[in-house]
Amino acid sequence: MKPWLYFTLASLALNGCSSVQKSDPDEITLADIQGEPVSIEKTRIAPSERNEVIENYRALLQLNPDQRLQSEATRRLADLQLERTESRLMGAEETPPSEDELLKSIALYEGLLKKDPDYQASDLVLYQLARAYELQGDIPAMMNALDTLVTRYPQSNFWQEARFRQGERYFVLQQFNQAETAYGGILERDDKSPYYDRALFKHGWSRFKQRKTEQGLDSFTRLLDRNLDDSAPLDLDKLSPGDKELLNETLRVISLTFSELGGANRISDYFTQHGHRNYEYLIYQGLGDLYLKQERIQDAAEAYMAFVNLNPGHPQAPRLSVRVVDMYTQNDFPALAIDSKKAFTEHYALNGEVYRGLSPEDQAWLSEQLRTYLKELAEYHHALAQRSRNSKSREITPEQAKHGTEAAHWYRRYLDSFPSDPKAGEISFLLGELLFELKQYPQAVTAYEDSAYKLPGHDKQAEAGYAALLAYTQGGRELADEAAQAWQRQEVESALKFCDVFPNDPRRAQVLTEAANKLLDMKDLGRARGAALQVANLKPPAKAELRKTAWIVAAHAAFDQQDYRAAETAYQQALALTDAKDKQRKPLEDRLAASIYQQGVALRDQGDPAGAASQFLRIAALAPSASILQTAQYDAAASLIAAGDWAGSVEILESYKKRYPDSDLMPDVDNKLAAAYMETQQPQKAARQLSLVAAQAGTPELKREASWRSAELFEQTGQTRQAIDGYKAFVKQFPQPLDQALEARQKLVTLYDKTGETGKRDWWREEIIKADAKAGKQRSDRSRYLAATASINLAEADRQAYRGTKLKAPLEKNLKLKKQRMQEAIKAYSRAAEYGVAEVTTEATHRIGEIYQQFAAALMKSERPKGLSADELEQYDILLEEQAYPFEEKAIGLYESNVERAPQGIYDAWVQASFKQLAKLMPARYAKQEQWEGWVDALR
Amino acid sequence: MRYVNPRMGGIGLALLMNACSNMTAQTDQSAEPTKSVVSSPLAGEIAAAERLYQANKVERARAELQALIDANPKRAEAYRVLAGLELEEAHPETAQNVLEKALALEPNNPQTLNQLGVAQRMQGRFNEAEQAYTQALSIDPDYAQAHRNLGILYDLYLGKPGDALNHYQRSQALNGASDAQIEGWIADLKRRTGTRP
Repeated sequence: MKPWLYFTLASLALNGCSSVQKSDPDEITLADIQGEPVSIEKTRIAPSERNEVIENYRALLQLNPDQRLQSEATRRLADLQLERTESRLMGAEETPPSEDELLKSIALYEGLLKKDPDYQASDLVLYQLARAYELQGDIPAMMNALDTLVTRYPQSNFWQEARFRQGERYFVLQQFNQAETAYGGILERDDKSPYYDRALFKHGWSRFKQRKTEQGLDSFTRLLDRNLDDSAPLDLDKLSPGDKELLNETLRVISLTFSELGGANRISDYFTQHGHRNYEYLIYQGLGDLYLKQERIQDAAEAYMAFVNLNPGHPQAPRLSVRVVDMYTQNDFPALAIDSKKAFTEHYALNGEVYRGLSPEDQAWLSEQLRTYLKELAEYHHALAQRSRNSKSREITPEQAKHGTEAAHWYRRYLDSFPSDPKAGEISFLLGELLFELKQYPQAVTAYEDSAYKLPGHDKQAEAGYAALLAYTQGGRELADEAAQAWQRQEVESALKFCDVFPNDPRRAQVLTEAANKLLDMKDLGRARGAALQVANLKPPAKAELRKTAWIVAAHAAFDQQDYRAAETAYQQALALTDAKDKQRKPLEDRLAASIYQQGVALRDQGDPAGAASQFLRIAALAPSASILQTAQYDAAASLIAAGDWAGSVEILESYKKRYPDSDLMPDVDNKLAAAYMETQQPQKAARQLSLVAAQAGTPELKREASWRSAELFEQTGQTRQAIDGYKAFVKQFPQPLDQALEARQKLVTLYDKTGETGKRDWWREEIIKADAKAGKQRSDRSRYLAATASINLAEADRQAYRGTKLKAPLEKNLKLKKQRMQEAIKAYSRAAEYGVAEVTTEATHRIGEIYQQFAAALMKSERPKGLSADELEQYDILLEEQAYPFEEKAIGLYESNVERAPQGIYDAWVQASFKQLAKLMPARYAKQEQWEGWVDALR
Repeated sequence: MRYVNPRMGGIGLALLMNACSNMTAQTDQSAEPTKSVVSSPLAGEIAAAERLYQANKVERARAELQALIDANPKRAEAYRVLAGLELEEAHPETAQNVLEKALALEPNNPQTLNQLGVAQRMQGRFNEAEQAYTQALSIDPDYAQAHRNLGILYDLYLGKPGDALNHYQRSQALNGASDAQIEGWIADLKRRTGTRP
């Protein structure tokens, strides 16, 4: 291979393109270009060995060999010396370089070319000579050597390198025309040459330096056309680092070119004229980058966007858009950045046309960008909305509303675009917060609930669930009627869901309690109870205040469900958690009492009065201050009575009378108590009680009944005086209906008879007779009977008066008196008999008969006048007998009329008495006795 | 608490009952007891009781008879003797109770039925008395005392003088016209009814 050291060109690496900071193309030199070195294989020889070889060659040349050997040895010696000089120049050896030795090599090369002009490796000698001159710093000589090589040896392997070397030197010397020619020479030959692309690059540059910009562009695009496959998507990463640098530098210079030409519009013009390329975007991008470097932000954006606008569906369009966004962002143009982001999100919707045209990788990238931008846009507007808040009132400012609406739009776009995104829950929460701030409570609720329940997996879940409840509360204040009810129903469901989904949330007890309360308001009693009991039985226990509320809700619900036993238990639990001085205590006790009372009512309705009473009575012990206690006590007494527990009822009723002296129910209580006293064999108390009833307000019927019963009880219990007063009062107060008033008069007759106050007794008998006489249509068998009895008893006095009148001197006067009294008595009995009451009639008949019989007897026993002779006395007796006989006959007649009632079945004491008298008066006729077998006869 | 006074309606009846208890029924003891063969094993005890009664020791006599009944609950004659005592003491209701026990033992005993008729008449239960006498006579048509008693019932209490006359005459016929008292009643009745003597 090549025995030379690495040609100097290698140090002129193609690294200039990477130097993007340099904006002036004039500053770019070949030294900046770092590229693939020209590979000329190094001579692998150690310095000591080389020195020895050099000496050997020198020695050989001293021997004066033939021309061919001499030329070869000369070239070899020159190469070795040049190599040693080069090595020493680079500091690879301790010995310093010697100019003399370099000159010696040049002399050897020059000599050789002269001595052996046909030397077969003359092109190599010229190449090495050029190199040596360059080391010596003799550039013209170097260029001369190269020129000779190029001219004389066009087929040399070193030709293209020599030509390129020439181009480079011209370029350094800013002889761009010659440089263009030198580079152009290479371009006219083998396009496979390793120098071709670099020549093309420098060719473009040479033209560019000569202001032949469009021609330069031709070179550059040719270079790109050669290296970038137009048929497939570009992938610059597949290039080697060197090629990549070359391409980047090419693009940079193209950008510079278009910048010079007037900007992005010229790119479009150029490619319209020369045909469009796949890599066009790189040109726009490069131009944009250039402007950006020059801090021409707007121009940069236009450059990027020019491509985007011309090629909206191009896969690279979104990336350029992103470049715009990033540029605005990094250069502190926030408004423009935002607008760009909005434009981006509008252009590149997920699953839009552009999106669908992208590779999966690009789609993923685009998706990520969208995600980022949508979130940033929402947050941007959200922040502005918050900053626009009215600091003094809760009124929403127009700015706040505007930005809020905008923010909501972006949050929703995010959620619509990325429903499964891990951040969707947080985003929805933020949307909820925003809408809450905007007082759009229903929408806020939706966002919060989505965040809490539909988009799980984030740490704001519980917060969102709770925030939804706050939004419900706020939203509910603006609603009324059915809308409010429907809203509350939703709120409760949400609250219950919160409690279900976040069982360990510290707010759960509070939320559940409020839900229970609302369920109760909604009359959803079963669920209200269930929720309340959950709170009440939480482990660990909820705060006392919450437990209290929960028990109250459970109690109310149970009560309304008519589960009074459960209600009672719950009220007791609530009371246990209520301070003695708490104002709630009284109403709770009232409700507790009502629960117990209703248990009593239920048992009463089921026909269990004893059970009912025991329930009613419990209230006094458990809720002594309850308003219903009075009613309960009354009902307890009534139930005890119904159950036959009269003694129990007495106790309750007496207590009731003491505690509630002004009760409207007092007449009934007195009445019941009277009955209870009766049943418990306390008639004296009963009588007093009834007199109270009679004196109180009440229906006339009730009062009359009480008045009667009272008097009757006084009578039965031997309180005669009170009984008399009672019946008297009755007669006075209740003259109608007649029958009972008559009975009262009869009672008075009986009682006065008992006390021996016969005058008063008989006065009442007269009253009975008068009342019956005036009864009119109310007259009855009973009134007649009473009147008849009264009448015949009154006759007894007349009879006694008659009997007490003795026929003694002065006979005439006494006889007259006795006759008069006889007539009075007969009249009285006749009046009694007129009532037609059988037993009175038989008595009256018998008594009249008796009066006549006694009168006859009295006559016969009357005191005889004094001084009568025996004859006169006999005459007197006969006269008396004649006088007496008719009375005896009348007596017999009356007795017989009495006994004649026997066949009609009337055989009372008076009929029997008449029989008795007749047996005496007419024994042959009436003294007839039945017979039966005597003591021993009965044994037969 | 409706007003009820059950006792009011009962006063009249009670008075009547009291009145009855005061009435003394004097059995006519003038007739000679029929001489007959003493066949009852209780004759001794009954005779002892009778002596007590004749000595006006009514309660002791009653107690003895009751003891006799208790010792011999199947002996109808013991009941009849006690019933006779109660009739003489004017306790027709007690007598009737005792007689009904005797009738339970001997339903067709004419003597018992005759005593029952007397007890019922004393209580004013005339139709039942008529029935008892009639039943006794259907068993023993020649039972003179029953004819006499039925005659009295018709005469004084049921206002049937013709029927009374018949039974008085029958009784007289059975007695062989030896009873002057009945003879007088027959004459009186004939006069009152216009029947030729």
